[in-house]
Parts: sequence; C-alpha cells; structure tokens
Amino acid sequence: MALLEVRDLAVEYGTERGPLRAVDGVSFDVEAGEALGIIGESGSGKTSTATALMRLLPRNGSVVGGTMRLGGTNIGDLSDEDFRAQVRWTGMAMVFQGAMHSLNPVMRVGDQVGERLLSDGVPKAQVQARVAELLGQVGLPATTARRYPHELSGGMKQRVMIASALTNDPPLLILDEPTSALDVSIQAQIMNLLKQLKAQRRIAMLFITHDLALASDLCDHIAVVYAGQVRELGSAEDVLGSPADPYTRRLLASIPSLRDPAPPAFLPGAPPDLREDIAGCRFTTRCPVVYEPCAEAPPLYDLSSGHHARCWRVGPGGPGVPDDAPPETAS
Amino acid sequence: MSREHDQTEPVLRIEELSVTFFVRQSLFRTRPVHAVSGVSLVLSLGETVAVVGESGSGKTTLGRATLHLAPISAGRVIFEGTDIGELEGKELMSFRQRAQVIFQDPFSSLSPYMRVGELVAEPLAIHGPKDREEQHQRVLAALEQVKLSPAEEFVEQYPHTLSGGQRQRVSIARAMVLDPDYLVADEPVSMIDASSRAEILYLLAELRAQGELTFLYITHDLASARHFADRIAVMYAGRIVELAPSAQLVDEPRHPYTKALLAAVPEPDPANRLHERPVVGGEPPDAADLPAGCAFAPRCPAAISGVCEVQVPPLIQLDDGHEVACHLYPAGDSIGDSTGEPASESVSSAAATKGSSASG
Repeated sequence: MALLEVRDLAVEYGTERGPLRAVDGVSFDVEAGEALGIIGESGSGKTSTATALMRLLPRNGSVVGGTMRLGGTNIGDLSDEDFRAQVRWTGMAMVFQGAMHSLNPVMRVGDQVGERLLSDGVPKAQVQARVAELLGQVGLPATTARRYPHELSGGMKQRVMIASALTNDPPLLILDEPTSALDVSIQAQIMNLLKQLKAQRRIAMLFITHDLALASDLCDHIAVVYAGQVRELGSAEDVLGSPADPYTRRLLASIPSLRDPAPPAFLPGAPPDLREDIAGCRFTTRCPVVYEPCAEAPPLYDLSSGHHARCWRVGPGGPGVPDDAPPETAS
Repeated sequence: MSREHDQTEPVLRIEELSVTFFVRQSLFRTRPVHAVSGVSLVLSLGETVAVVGESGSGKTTLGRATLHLAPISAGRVIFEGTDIGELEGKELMSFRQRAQVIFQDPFSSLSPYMRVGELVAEPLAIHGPKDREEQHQRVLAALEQVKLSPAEEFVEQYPHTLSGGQRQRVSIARAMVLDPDYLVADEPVSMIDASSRAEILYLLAELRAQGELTFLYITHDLASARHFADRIAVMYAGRIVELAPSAQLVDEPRHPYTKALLAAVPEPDPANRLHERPVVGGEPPDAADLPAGCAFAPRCPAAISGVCEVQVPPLIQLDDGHEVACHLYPAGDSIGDSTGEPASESVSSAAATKGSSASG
C-alpha cells in the first residue's frame, strides 16, 4: 500500500460562467520516502490537487469525486476537526508557492516556526529547542530564530518555510513551486536540501512545478497533467527517457537546452477552457499528430509496468507517435 | 535562434558605466549602493547581447541606464554617436521613441482598466501619428506582428481575459508599435509558463529578423540566452565578470562564477535526482556592502588568498576573444596561452568538492 493513494479525484470551482472542473479524475500513488512530480502548465489542476489534499481549497472550490487515502485512512471522510488533528501538518505538510512572502514581517522567525507547537501546549523551553533543531535541519544557524524576516534572503526564508513544514515530522511534504521565486544558484541549494531530507529522513514528497527539468532534480516518478487530467505517469526514466504522450514530448522539446545547440521547439496555443464541454482528447487543439480517433476521449493506457499515457496512438493497435512530428522552430 | 550580424557598426556603446544609488540609512546618513560599477559593452547593429545575472547583479539597472531611465553616476552611454546623458527636449523624445523596453511581469505592467487596443495605442499618442485612423491601423499591424490574431478581436479585450503569454505579446506590441531600433527585454519570459517561453522567444527572434533591431536581453536563464543571444555578458555584483559569444561562454566557461551558474541549471535527466548538484555556498553580496577585491572571492572555490580579496580583477581579453575578469587569468599570462586555461588547478573540480555548505 502506498503512503498516499489518490483515486479519480475531481475538484470543481463555482464561477460566474458556471462550474469549472479543474481536476477531472486524477489518480496517483506516492510511496513512502519517494518523490512524485506533478508537472503542468497554469490551469492544469496541479495546485488544485495539492490544496484539495490539504483541504485548503478556496470557498468556491470543492472536491466532487474520488478518494484520497493517506497511510490507509480515507482522509476525505474525516471531520474538519479530525483532519486538523490527524492530517494537516502532521500527516502531510505543504510549502506554498511564494511562501517566503507569507512570513509575518513583525514576528521573529523562531516565534513563527514555533507558533504551532506553542498553541498545541508544548512548554516554551521545549519549543525553543525544537525550533533550533528544525532550523538546523534546513541548514540555518540556530541564531536565525531571533531574526526578523526582512533580515533574511529569499533562500533563507524558503528554508524557514520548509523548517516550519517539518515541525510535526510529517511523512509527506507537498511542495508547490518551492523555488519559483529564487535565483538559479539558490534554487540549486534548496533542491539539494530537499534531496537530503528525502534521502536521510525518508520524507515522501509531492513536488508541483511547471518545469520538467527541475522535477528531474528530485522526482522518482512523474505525472504530467493537462487540462485537469493525467496525460502521462511513470518513473522519471520512463517519462523523461521514453516519453509516450505527444504533450509530454512537446513539453520536453520546448525546454531550451544548455548543452545542445538544437533550438527548442514550441507548443503553440493554449489549454482549452474547462468550463466548456470538451468532446474527445483535450490536447487536440495543440497536438501535432491528431488523427480520427482523437474525436473521442482516450483512456489512460498502461503501457508497461507503471508507465501510463493518455493517447490513442500509443494504445493497443495504435499507430504510435511518429518521431519526426515536425517541431515548430523559427519561422 | 541567433544569427549573423554586422560587427562593424556599434549602435550602443557603454563606456565605464557606473550607477550608484543612495539609500537613507538614518535621518542624517545615506549610504551608497553600487548597482553597476565600471561596465563597458558595445552592441553592434542587429546584435543581441544577453546580460545574465542573479537578483541584485545590476543587470536590470544596466538595462535601464541604457534607456536613460537610471541616473548615470560615472561613464557614458553612447547611442549612435550621441551621449544619451546629454539629450534634452526633442532629441530625448526621439531617443525614447527609438529605444523601447519590455518588462518582466505582464500581469502588473499592463493597466487592468485599459483595453488591449488602448494599451498598444498609448505610445502612439505621445510619439506617433496624430490621425486616429492611422493610429488604429498601426495598432492592428502591431498586434498582427505579435500574432494576436485576429487583431480586431484582441483590441476590445481587457488584459485579465488573456493568458500570460498573450499579455506578454501585448507588452511586445506596445514596444514594437513605434518601430524601435533598440530594445531592452528585461526577463521577458520568466513569468510565463515553461511551455510558452520558447514561443515568445521565437516571436522576439522573428521581430528581430524583420528589421535591424539591436537587442539587450536581460535574464537569469543561461539556457535561453544561449539560444537567443549572439553574445552573453555574465554580471555579478554590478560588474561584468565574463563576456563571450553565447555557445563559447556556455561550452567553455572561464570564470568560476559562470561555472557555478552553469552547474546550477538542471537539464531534464532522470539521473539528476541521484546526486546533489555542485553548488557554491552563500549568496551574492549586498550592493551596499560589497567586499573588497573581487566580489565573488568570499564564495569562490578557487580564490587565491592574498590576491582576490585585495584587488578587483579587470575585464581582460584572452586570445580567443573571450573576456573574463578573474585573477586566475592574469593579463600577461594569457598571451602565450591560447587555451586560456586557468593559472591554478582546475576550477570546476574545486567547485565540485567545495560547495553545498548551506548558508542560504
């Protein structure tokens, strides 16, 4: 049994122009001590998946289908009170996008990291010791506890947010674009820290990003999501080494390579509006290899053990995705 | 994406440029912040130079100074033979029309209360034709040029109805509607989804190919700079530390900082997760409190003690045209050394062993 099992998750938002199904039947597992990357563009449903797991969806959003099991417990069935006591921050903790801007500017860092422990009734001396320990785990000196957020750099603030998420020793960390506001060299430092936490403390991670290259720096498994659905799911080797879905292939080809002089290809167009009924495959509007069957929605095929893709071409009897699908280069 | 250009005709010549800001420290004291220090750079007609650096490196201030948008405290910026610091009145207006900028954030740089048509027409109201119909035609042409098509439909829309990529196209149309000769693009794709970045860069490359547009591409992303620019200048703490043709800079970096930056960039490879990335510890210095000597010395895995923390290394040219500001490449020694190898032992191996100490 996996640490986290998500099955057919569906999340809807009420909007002025009708319901928007941001997550539409997403399933994945996160094994203990492993990292799963959820890769997608803005609006693909990756952040909605995470906030649904943490029960932090905005007011107009709700889970309308599917199950979420953490360590065997169906966390969707818990009362809000039980969810707070057993799951949020304890069973899994989340580091938010741009989280370093969410530190309270007039509170010392140590007070913020220890706030949750104090409110749980832990004695002050113990809280201080724990805060020092947590700061140490993320590579910050214990004296950081006495400093104010404005005295810290962006990278240090993000370390503080990670320390804060580790407070209750959760077996699972959800990381939503944890490095997107940081410089490359600081990003590499934070990614190394996450690697250490994963390797040394066997913390499982759900890593949410739009950047496949960055995901490859941490993730054992990768789920590529598009328009609320999983397009491709498999080991990092499968998805990055032999991508099956045309969307994954295009996404990979669109990354400018540092070493390879071949220019990046690009993915024209934009994802579909999820408020409208979409017949057929959701990628057809941008796909370079559309053919007749695409008028109907393809299932998520199991290609080989654990490698899945949602494309008629790679299913049984399908013609395959031609390698020479012409990448769009400079016109 | 890069291509041949005419090397002979400099459009923009930056000479020993320094920009110093003064920030108030207390009621009676201000302290200087050296954002840009002694930068020299020449841009030929139709050339694209990428200025690569991290936050606080001075890259944005350098770009602004070339547009007469930052106070120049020393040195000069010469645009087609004229010192832009001396421009006034009509000449300054004419310069403003010919030199345009695209900002990083398409979400905050476009007024949410203006329609796309009004946003693109705004520069024309100041610099363009007075005739309404002619303005409208110019707006439509600019929108078509950035592939916001059909332009008649986009003209009526508000920015919030557009995707990040589309908004950035509107920003580009705003810059292009005046048909500029010099364009500063400050992180034009960093706020856009990875999947749409290449598309915007291709669009910029296409616009560049249509006219003789000289480009200063400011970015933190070495990979996009490699594909988009002819040359790359790497900045650290207000100075250019390395300058070379794009592929050469990426394939044969000389400065330890450039090497560290290159090592920090992940490429999509499942093997990445199996080992830690070699990184230099620490963070760039505060521009208000720069260390003496080379600003990178405190983090440098190859720093020569007694030299690097004492003297600022000048930007020198090696035999292959590669320019570097580092004491590992003494000015005199490089003459007989065509490979431009560092004077001390391999910098990259030193960078790999020292490193992941996490102070940031």
